Amino acid sequence: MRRALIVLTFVAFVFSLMGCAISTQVMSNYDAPVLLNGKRIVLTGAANKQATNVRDVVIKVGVNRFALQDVSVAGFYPPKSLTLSEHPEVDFAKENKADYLLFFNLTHLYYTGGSFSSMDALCVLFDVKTGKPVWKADIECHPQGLSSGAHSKIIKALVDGVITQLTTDGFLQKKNP
Amino acid sequence: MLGVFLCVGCAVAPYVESVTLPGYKLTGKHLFVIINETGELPEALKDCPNSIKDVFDSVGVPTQVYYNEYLVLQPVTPDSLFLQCGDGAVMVFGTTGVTTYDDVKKPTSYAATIYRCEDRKVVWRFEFSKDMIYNTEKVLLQQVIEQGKSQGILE
Repeated sequence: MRRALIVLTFVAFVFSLMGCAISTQVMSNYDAPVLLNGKRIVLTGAANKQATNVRDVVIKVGVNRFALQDVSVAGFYPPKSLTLSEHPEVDFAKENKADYLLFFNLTHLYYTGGSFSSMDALCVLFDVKTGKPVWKADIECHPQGLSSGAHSKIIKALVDGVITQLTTDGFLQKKNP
Repeated sequence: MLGVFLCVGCAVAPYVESVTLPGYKLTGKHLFVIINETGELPEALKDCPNSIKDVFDSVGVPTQVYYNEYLVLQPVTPDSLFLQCGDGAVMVFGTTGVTTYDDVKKPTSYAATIYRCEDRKVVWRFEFSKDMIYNTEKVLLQQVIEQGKSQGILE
C-alpha cells in the first residue's frame, strides 16, 4: 500500500512537472532589423469577444516585460465597444509619439475543461511613421503534458517568446547576464 | 486571481454588436462584399456568401459577394471595388479567430466593416458570435439587420 502511494505520488509529481513546461514555437520574418532599445513602443492586441480578457492580460504582461528591455512602452487596450475609428491603436500611438506599434493578434485560443489552456498568435511590429510592418512572427504556446492550468505561464511564454525572437533577430540588444 | 479572471472568458454566449455612422443610409445602394477565408476553420464561412446576400437583398440593398479563398493568388481587394462601386458601399467580412474547446474547433466570432465608396469612410461595423448549438450565421445576420434598422442606416 505504501509502495503504491509512493508510485502514485511520483506519477502525480511527473505529471505536474509536465504540466508546467510550455512549448513555445516561433517563426519570424523581417527585412532589416531596427533597434528598439531606447525607442518608444505601444503594445496592443486583438482577440475574439470571448477572449478580450486574455488579450488584456497579454498587453499588461507585455508592458511589464518590455519595460525591462530598456524600451519606453505603453499599452493600448482596445475599447470594449465597437467604434467607427479605423485604427484607434495607431491614433493612440501617434498621440503618444510612439516609434513602433507591436500588435498581438490571438488567432487561436484553446480551452480545456472550461479553462483557457493554450494559444497561437500572430505578432506584427509596425513602424508608426510609415504604417508598414517591419517584423512578423507566428507563435504557438502549448503546455506539454496533461495539465493545462498554467494560464499565466502560457501568457508569459508568449511574451517572452516574442522578446527572445526580437533579440535573436537583432531588434533588441542582448542583455548581459 | 489571474486564473479566475481568465476563466470568465470561458462562458460562450451569442452576441451581436454594431455601430453606424449617424445620418448615413445604405438602403437602395449597391453593396459589394468581400469575404476573406482564413486557413483555420474555413468551413465556418461556407454558408456566409448566400446568407449575406439573402439578408441584405431582402432589405433593399442589392448585394454582390466575392469570396477570397485562403492562399488565392489574386484576391479581390477593397481598392479594386472602390474603383467601380459608385455611390454604393464595400463590406469586408471574415472571422476574428478560432477557438478550440476540448480538442474540438468551434465556429468563432465574425466581424465586418462597411466603407462608403465616395470617401472610403467607415459607416458601419458589426460583430457577431454564435453560441454552440442554436444560432446560424443567417439568424445572427438578421439580428444585425434589425440593429441596422433601429440605428437608422437601413429602412
